[in-house]
Amino acid sequence: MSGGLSTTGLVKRYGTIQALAGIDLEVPPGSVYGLVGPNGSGKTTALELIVGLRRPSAGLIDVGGIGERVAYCPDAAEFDPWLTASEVVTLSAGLIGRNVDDAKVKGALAQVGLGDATNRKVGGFSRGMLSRLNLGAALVCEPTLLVADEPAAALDPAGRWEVIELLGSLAGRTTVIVSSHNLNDVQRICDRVGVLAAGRLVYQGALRELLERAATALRVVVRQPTAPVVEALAAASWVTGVREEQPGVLIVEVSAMDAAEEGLPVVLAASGARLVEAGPAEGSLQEVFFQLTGTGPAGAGAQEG
Amino acid sequence: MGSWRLEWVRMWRTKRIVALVATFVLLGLAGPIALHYLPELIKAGSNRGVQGLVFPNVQPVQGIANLGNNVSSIGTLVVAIVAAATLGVDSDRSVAAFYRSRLRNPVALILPRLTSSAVAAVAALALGALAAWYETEVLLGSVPFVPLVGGFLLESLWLCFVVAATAFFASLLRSAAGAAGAAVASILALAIAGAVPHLSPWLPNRLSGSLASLIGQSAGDLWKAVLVALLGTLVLSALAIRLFASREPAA
Repeated sequence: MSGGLSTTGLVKRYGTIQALAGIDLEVPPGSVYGLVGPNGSGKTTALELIVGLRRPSAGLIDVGGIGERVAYCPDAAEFDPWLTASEVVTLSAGLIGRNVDDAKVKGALAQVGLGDATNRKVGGFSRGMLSRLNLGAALVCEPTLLVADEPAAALDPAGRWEVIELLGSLAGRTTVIVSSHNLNDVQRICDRVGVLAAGRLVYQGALRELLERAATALRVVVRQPTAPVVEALAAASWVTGVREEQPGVLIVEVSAMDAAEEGLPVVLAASGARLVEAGPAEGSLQEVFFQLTGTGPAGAGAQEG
Repeated sequence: MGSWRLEWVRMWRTKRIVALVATFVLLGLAGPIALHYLPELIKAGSNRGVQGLVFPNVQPVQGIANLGNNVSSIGTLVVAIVAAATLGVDSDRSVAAFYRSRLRNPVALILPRLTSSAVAAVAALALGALAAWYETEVLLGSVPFVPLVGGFLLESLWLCFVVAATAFFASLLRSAAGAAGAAVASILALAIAGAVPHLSPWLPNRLSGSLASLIGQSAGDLWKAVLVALLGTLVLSALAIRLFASREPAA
């Protein structure tokens, strides 16, 4: 796989409304790229431009070496109701000129949890089943670029988990661009994110960097007693504050995430702490998302990034 | 499964082929049966006091002519509705995304739908004509074969023109109902335009009803309408494909 996907100054206008105001996406090959943003920020428009369903008002899209086979999973997927699930999958491959045998079709359906619904007409499918079929119809094409718009929106928590894991498992073999409102999903599988707000790309980069920007606090769970651990942490140079949120649950405010990641194991070991869990304080990605997009309950102001 | 097989499956599973065939076969059977039994029905239903009711002799060609007249109205309407439903590619945004994201070539997206609609209409007409011919032979007598085939071919060309016109309107309007309505309105407009003497020979709707009229006239009289129908079918189909290609999903 060579070259990734990039857009340069991508603009899309609908009459007088500017849906995208010149975005420059950089999607490395084999990566799982999360496109996030509030409703109306231009995510679906960007994805539809990438897969060729729309033409840009200005700018360029270069799908380079990964554009050989592009599969698109729109949100709120629908299919002709008189087709069976296996016919949809066969048709999906057939329309791009690929002949697939029964085993491959059944395999694709089993992969998305529809192994028992192979011969059922899709007219009777629930929204969740249609979402799974949407993904199965894309996977059977063995795409080099998979573009999925809110792929897990209609699924229950277990289904959401499965589908998001499945998308994550494609990393390395397939370049995946996934849009989602659910930041936990993005955090789980994406290595790179783009944050859209009002048609502008307000952040693009590694998820880790975004989390670092967000994570000014760590959540550390240790076994009792916690007093020696709190004392040791408070003495560390990179710690700006420690509080025990619940018994055994410490919120550690840090000055620099790099220093915290290096120093935390040392401090915990030195204080004899029995570590249960450690990670960024919950909701941190959401907070930075609110900051970047100027949304959220607090109505925080937008920051260009 | 490719796009051509898909359209075959669509015709069967949506029962559109059944609607077409049933319409044309019923129209084909109804004419000769009505002509044959109508005098008896009227006599049976009339008051006893009515005397001396004289019915003109029924000519066998009238059995076929009846189908031709009905194809001009009911048949054309059913063909336009079926074609609009098949060619309403963008009437459902999500279904359209499935097809459009895979079929980048607009010809591959539209041509199978256009062809299947036209073939289904012509096949239904053929079965209707066959039914009318059989029933006429049995009940009314023999009809000349060559004008019958000629009339069928010209009527087929008219139906192909109707399908192409519907495709053109489907490429302008996302709604299938809107496309069917616009196609029917344009056919009515052609009928009104037919009142202009100098325009009339060139109008493709002159071919509508050829099954009825050809038995009494030469196909040579219709060459202008044939030419316009042929060109119109090709141009409207090409325009439809071009317009479908340039259309984006609803914002």
